[in-house]
Amino acid sequence: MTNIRRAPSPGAALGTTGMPRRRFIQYAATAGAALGASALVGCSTSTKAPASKAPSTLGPKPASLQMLNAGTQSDAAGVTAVLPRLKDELGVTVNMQNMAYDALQSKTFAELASGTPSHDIYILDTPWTPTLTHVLEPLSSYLASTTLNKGIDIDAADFIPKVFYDTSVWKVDSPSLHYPDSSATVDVHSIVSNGYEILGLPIQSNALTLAYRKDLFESPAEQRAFKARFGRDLTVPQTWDEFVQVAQFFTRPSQGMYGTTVLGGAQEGWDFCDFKTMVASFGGDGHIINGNTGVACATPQAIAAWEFYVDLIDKYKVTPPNATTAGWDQAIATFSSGNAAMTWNYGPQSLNPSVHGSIGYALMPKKVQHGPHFGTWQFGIPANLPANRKAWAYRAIAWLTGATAQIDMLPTQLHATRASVFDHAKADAAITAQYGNFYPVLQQSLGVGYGRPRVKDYDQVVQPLVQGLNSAENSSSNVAAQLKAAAQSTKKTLVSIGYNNASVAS
Amino acid sequence: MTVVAGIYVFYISFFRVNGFGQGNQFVGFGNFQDAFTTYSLLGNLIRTIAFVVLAVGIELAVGGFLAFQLAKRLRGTGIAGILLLIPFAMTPAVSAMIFRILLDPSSGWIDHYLRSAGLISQPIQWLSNPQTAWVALVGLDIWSWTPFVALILMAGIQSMPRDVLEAASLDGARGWTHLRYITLPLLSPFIAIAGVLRTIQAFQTVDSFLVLTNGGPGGSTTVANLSIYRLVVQNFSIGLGAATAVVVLILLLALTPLLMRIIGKYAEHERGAA
Repeated sequence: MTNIRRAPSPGAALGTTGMPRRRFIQYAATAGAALGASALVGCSTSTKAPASKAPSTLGPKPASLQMLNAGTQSDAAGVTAVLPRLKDELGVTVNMQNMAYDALQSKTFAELASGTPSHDIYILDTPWTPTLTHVLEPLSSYLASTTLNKGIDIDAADFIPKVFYDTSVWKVDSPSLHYPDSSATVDVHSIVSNGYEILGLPIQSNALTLAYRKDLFESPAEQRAFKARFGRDLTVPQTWDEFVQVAQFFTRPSQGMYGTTVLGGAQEGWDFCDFKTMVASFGGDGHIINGNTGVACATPQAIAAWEFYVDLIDKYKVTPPNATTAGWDQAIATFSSGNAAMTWNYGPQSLNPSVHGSIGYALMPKKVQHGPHFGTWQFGIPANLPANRKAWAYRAIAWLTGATAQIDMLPTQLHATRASVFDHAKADAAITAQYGNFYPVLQQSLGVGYGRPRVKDYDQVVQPLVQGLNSAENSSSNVAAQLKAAAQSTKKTLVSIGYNNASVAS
Repeated sequence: MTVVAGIYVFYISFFRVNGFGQGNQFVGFGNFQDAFTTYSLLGNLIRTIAFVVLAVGIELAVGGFLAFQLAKRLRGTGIAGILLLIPFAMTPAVSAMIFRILLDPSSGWIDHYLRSAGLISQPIQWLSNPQTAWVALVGLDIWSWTPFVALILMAGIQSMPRDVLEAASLDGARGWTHLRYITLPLLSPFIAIAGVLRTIQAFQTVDSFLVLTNGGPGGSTTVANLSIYRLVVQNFSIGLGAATAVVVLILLLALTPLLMRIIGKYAEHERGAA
């Protein structure tokens, strides 16, 4: 991600990852662009959090709107497919430019920092938003406007609450804070009255899901053998204890078969997101860094969770030999070639034709609760645009994130953000035939999952954690010490970028 | 162009830059302090220097050996010369991806053939262990850049004055004596040029680190350029990234007169010899 890199994306999972694979010359050029943008800081917007003030009229319709999108995300194909209909219904042309992850982030940041953005709509990965809260247009009043929503069914209450609050609802001047009730039905008035703002509309939601070889789990021979060994039926594991048994049962190295894959490689989207999932499932804080910038990566729950993870690799030996370097692509390759009975990733899986098997999906197992990591994307609008462009850009993103458009994007594997779209997917025989029970499991996962920590300079902050987790994987006797060291390094990093109250949670 | 950009990088390294509304804040040497105390710059620099010394040293030795073989103009050396160009011509990120696939302990060819040959019983987890990860990174650099060194040195070998070589042979110079007192001195300007160019290039390496290890396992293969990439490109931490870049620049500037002196010395030597 591919990119690579960080954001766990189905596109990345399909091998089109946006992992960082730039040549040095590209890196230098991007750095130059970033430096150039920084020179324009004097021209940038004020620091005061702007109140949402939607234009009272639509104003002149722009000849076209320019949109920057993530080429590796599955919504890109879907958006491309529905843009002609958007033009028919709204009467405005949207020109979409797709970019790989790193280039997209650099371009987005450079353009928004310059104060003169050349796009009307930006797709935004959620960890970018804490840095961007002052340059994005607050949209609460737009959602409430009848003029701007004419002919569009905005229905904010249809958005999956956890996804909407995690992705789009921010306290502009204190972006590290999470909305106090992330399970409440989305209500614009409540959001504003709580002092929060809506800084975009969510379009894509990726959550960690467990995929398993349904054919093996349903095989009478395997079921008999499992019962003989463990004294219980072979079922899809709901808990980590069950998971270990099942993984051990299917681990047959002489046949090139392993119980499970893990995403243990040293990247934010791999080991850190696995860590988030494990910590939440062991009862810890699934955000890892809380709203008061307390670092919860070395709590008893976190240590127990990562010791268990490392045990999967070193003690139970149920993972392939590449476990501590594996990312999305390696996990997919292992599972699709029939070398693992279970895997976890961020999109529907497939098997090579020679494997002759079938796939089912389940929630990530739990120790005390389910808490899969999810990563989301939203469409945002720059604050520094003329009022009419903002109004039309809003109409475009409201239309694109509406239920009808999202349903039309399902065949291209949009990971939807609205409950009604998931309901449609469950009832649609063609979608079920194509993706099995993936969509119901994704919806469940989004309902119980955890998004990323909300900190500025996100990659910088989590880098010590990524390193510490990977080091712990490679020194299994010392997991607690590695996590405690990572917690201190993370705190130091937070302080260095201005979070003076950062602490280590115990 | 170079001077203006360089001055701006130096200037901005004293600021905490926020391009999103909070303006620039002068922090003096704060970024430099953070770079060393919080972002492990010293360790990253030491790793960078170790990588450069090791990779360039081996490339000069292997490249020299290859150059002598290719300069003999034996049967097949023409094809070998063309084959040598392949890794040199390949985009570094692609080379790193290929290495990553080859080194995969589950499905990579390298572990497969090592096991088939009975040299190992268990797959080597190349990128999971700091030592083997460095072997992979240095190996990739050697694979990619040795042809470049070999081509420069081959040009040097082919341009050696025949009369000097023949006179030395007539005087009884053979084997090591011939190499030590005749061939190497004549080749030294080319060795110096190859060494200097490769040293500067090796300091700039980032692609293979990004793709192959991303600085892991843990932070054991994080070099200065990878750190700059993360700070500037991924985090937009322009001031901190600029401070890190300034330190690397100072290191290179300190190294440049030394490298220029090496070239100059051997160029003088060649002129003297001629």
